Amino acid sequence: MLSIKNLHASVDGKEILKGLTLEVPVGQVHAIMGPNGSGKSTLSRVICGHPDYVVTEGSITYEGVDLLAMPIEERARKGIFLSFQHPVEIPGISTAYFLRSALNAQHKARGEPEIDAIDFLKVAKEKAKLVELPAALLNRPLNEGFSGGEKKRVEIFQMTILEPKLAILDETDSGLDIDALRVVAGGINTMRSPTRSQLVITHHQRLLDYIVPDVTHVLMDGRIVKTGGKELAHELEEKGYDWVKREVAAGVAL
Amino acid sequence: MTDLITWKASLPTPRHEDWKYTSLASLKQADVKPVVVAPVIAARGATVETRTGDVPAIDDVVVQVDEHVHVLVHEGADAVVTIAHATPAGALTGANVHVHVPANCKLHLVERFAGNDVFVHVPATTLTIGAGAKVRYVRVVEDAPKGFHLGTVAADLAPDATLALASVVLGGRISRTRIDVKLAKGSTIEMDGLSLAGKDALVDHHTFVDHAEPNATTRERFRAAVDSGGRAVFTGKVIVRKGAVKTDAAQHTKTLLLADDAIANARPQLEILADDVKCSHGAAVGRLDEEALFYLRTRGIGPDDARRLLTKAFASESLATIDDGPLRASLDVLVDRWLAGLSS
Repeated sequence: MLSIKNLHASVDGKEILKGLTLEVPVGQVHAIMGPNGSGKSTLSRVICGHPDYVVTEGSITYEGVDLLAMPIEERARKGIFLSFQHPVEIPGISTAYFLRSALNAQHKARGEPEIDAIDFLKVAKEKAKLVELPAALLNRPLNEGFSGGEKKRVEIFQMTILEPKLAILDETDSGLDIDALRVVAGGINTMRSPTRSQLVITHHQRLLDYIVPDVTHVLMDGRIVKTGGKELAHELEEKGYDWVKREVAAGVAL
Repeated sequence: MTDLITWKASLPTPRHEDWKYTSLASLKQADVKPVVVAPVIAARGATVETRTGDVPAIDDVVVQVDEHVHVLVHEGADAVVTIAHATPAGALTGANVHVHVPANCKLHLVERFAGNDVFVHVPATTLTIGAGAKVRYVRVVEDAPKGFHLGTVAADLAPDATLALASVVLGGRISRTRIDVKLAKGSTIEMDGLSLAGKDALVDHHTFVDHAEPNATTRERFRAAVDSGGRAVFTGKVIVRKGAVKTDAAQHTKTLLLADDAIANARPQLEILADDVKCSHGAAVGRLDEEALFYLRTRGIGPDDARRLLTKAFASESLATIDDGPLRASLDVLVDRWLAGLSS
């Protein structure tokens, strides 16, 4: 589904990704763990096409097509979704209006019929329950005054409505208490399917107790330095990132 | 009716400080003839009377027509009045509407202005608000790419009266709205303004609030969004006269520039002659937030639609206080139509 080869990317002239290679097959959940500043968020933003990031070398192929040649919205319409670490607040537009606009933009681009406000609300209320969002929140301006937990739940709620083929979850667990984490992870797990892939980016192993990955990668200094199964996350939690650092220095992991 | 040539010659030029950014040169070229056009008024809890006679001009561009409409709110009423002005193509017109609100009454007043093709509309509305009365006044100037609107509002508030005014202007070749408010002891003016200046349009809000007595409150919130070649002008003067102690006045303006050649001129003017007052003002001019645009595009919304959606969000915040459902819905339609005409 997603194939990244030797990716180099910079922001403000500073190279953050330094030859990242990653394969995410269809139907799998991959976790990317790494210390702060290793390039985790950069990776998610480059996949979605953030204009501040410049790809200087390498390629990203999505469903066999060159992703880097696609405009941001085209990537979304082809099924890529990013759950933001810091979701944007948009006062003046209700959550429901925003999301229906997004859904209809995607439907229109794919030649599917648009959904009217009433039908949308029916679906939205059902999906809101998955992440325990009160229906009243749909009428409030998008993310304005929402708590950290509400914002993250709204991100996952959006994912369940837009039904992407590839979901990238950027630090979705940050700022969540244990109850909110359980709810958010539950929402993410409902989206698990043989036709869908998920890329779960996190600093902590905590989230991966709920979303058990098929594959775990360690990202350090702009490259994937170690890949393993679900147990790798626990090993990291026990031994710390320094353990991987030493291995890399000794030339073991690569 | 004033002679047309004399009237045009009497128009202010940008040399006049109040008209520095709003040149009427293009208006002088407009091919229009003076006509009297009576507004259409629907009233509940009020009587409408049409009288002829002269009323002195309240601004430097008021055209004297013989039509004077008086809206007399009944004693103790909770009145609803809507006034619709439709200016025909080629007309120079300006009805004078006088609204009288007795003490302790309530009034919900909506005044709408529309016009066809080239026209010059110079309407004047005066509001005399009795002690303790509460007035909600929504003023809507619809878009007319070739039209000129030079409207004036003069509100005189008795002690403890409240006027909540929303002025929504959706463009025009030149649309200038002058709002003068005189506050008495304990009275309150809440003003929400929205200027949407589309391609090559000029929208000007000119406000003057006079705090002549103690304990009065002013809340001014003006927003403007400006497209390519357009200009939004805001002048907000607040004078706190000697003795107007415990005045509480705040004025905030926010302007969104949607193109490199969009222009905004915002001039807050606070003149404070009294002690023990609370006055603040703030003016911000900016562009659409890049991170918000990115966010919307990652949801599949194209760049032009994303810009429109964020601009709609910006404008909607100005309309948030309008709780009359059908009116709000009709304003949303007008805003959407304006957004559809934005250059990309």
